[in-house]
Amino acid sequence: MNKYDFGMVFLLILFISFFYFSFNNVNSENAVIKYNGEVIKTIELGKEETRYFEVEGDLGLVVIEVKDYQARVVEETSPLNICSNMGWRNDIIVCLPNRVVIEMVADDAVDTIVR
Amino acid sequence: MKFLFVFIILILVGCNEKEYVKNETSFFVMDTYVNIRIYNEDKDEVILEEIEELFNYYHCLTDRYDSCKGVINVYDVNNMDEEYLEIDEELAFLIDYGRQFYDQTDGRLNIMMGDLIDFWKERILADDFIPQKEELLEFTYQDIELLENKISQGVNLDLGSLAKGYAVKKAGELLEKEGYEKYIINAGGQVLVGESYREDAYRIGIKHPIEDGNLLIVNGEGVNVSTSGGYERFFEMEGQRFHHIINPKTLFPADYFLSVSVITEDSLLADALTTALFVMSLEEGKKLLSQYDAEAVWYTKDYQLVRSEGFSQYE
Repeated sequence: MNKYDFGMVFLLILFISFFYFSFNNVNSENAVIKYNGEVIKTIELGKEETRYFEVEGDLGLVVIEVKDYQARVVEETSPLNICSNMGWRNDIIVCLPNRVVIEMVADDAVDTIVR
Repeated sequence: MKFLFVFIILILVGCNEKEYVKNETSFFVMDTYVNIRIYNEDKDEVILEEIEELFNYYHCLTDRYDSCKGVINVYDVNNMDEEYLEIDEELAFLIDYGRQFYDQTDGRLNIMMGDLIDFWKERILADDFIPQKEELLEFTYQDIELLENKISQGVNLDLGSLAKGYAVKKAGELLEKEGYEKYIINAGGQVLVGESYREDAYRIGIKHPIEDGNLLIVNGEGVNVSTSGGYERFFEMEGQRFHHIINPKTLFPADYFLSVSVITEDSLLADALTTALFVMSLEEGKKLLSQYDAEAVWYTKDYQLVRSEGFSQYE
């Protein structure tokens, strides 16, 4: 083995780890539940069975149902019930009076959404 | 072997786009969920806190429902006992800006109708009845007298159509001043992006007002995209939607479009324009828009997208 062989092995390791780390993130289909801007829970979205999560908001409990890469709010207390009326979403659900947000970054199609 | 070595080095150099750390924070302010992302070489918590403080300050300055410690704000102006009140320079600037826009838009953007806005907000909250036109006619307004930062008594300000745009603009200016060029400031209906942290421009989705997902996607750097629509806060009655963006001419919620979005460099202008365009016809809107270096897209009630002439540069 000469010095170039060593270099090659080193570079190959770099090469593989580079691709591993850069592409590993692309399909991380997660939902992040936040209260008052702080991350409360990160959940993996998936095709599996229906799951429920509870977060304490400013006006009471916010119950979130997760299924098939989507989420919806099934229970909450607020004046207009905007976030429970939104139904199934795969982008973002904002429960303003409760300061609860569910962010789903399912794909890399956009950087941000004006709403 | 030597050749292969050099070859792989070249590939690696080619692949090695500069890596940035994403500094991110979210908070609630101005009745909105705000998300800030700054792409920087290092982790930086201080600037994120500064930005949050800035938003809190402008919320305080433009608050209609409570006074603000240390500065005379909109609440103080609306409730003053004195004949005149000397106000902060920035507040005076905002009021003056709104007053000028009132003239520009033939009264479509009216920052002097705070009571009427409150009335409709209560209706939306109560979700109960459609007001009669006669009831609404009681809401009159007094013009603003503002001279050398002194404002006269009797006004009923609501800076809701300007405050968020102004705060976003100021946040962007603070970032640029401190040397942060790569950022995304998302304040719900207002998104300001700086320079991109990668090779292509930022992709900004404009939310579809009635369906899931995006109405369209625009690309840009150093621009503000803002959107107005009556789809988030509203009540439904007799098959009609009543939302919170009131047309000062009819005193009822504006009924021209499902949503209007504006792209321009100035976040304050974007905020004012998008509200104004939402409460006027397409023809009037096109005329207004032509006076500014700004582009717009209207989504009409019969589900048509109408773009301004130069809008396609962002698609």
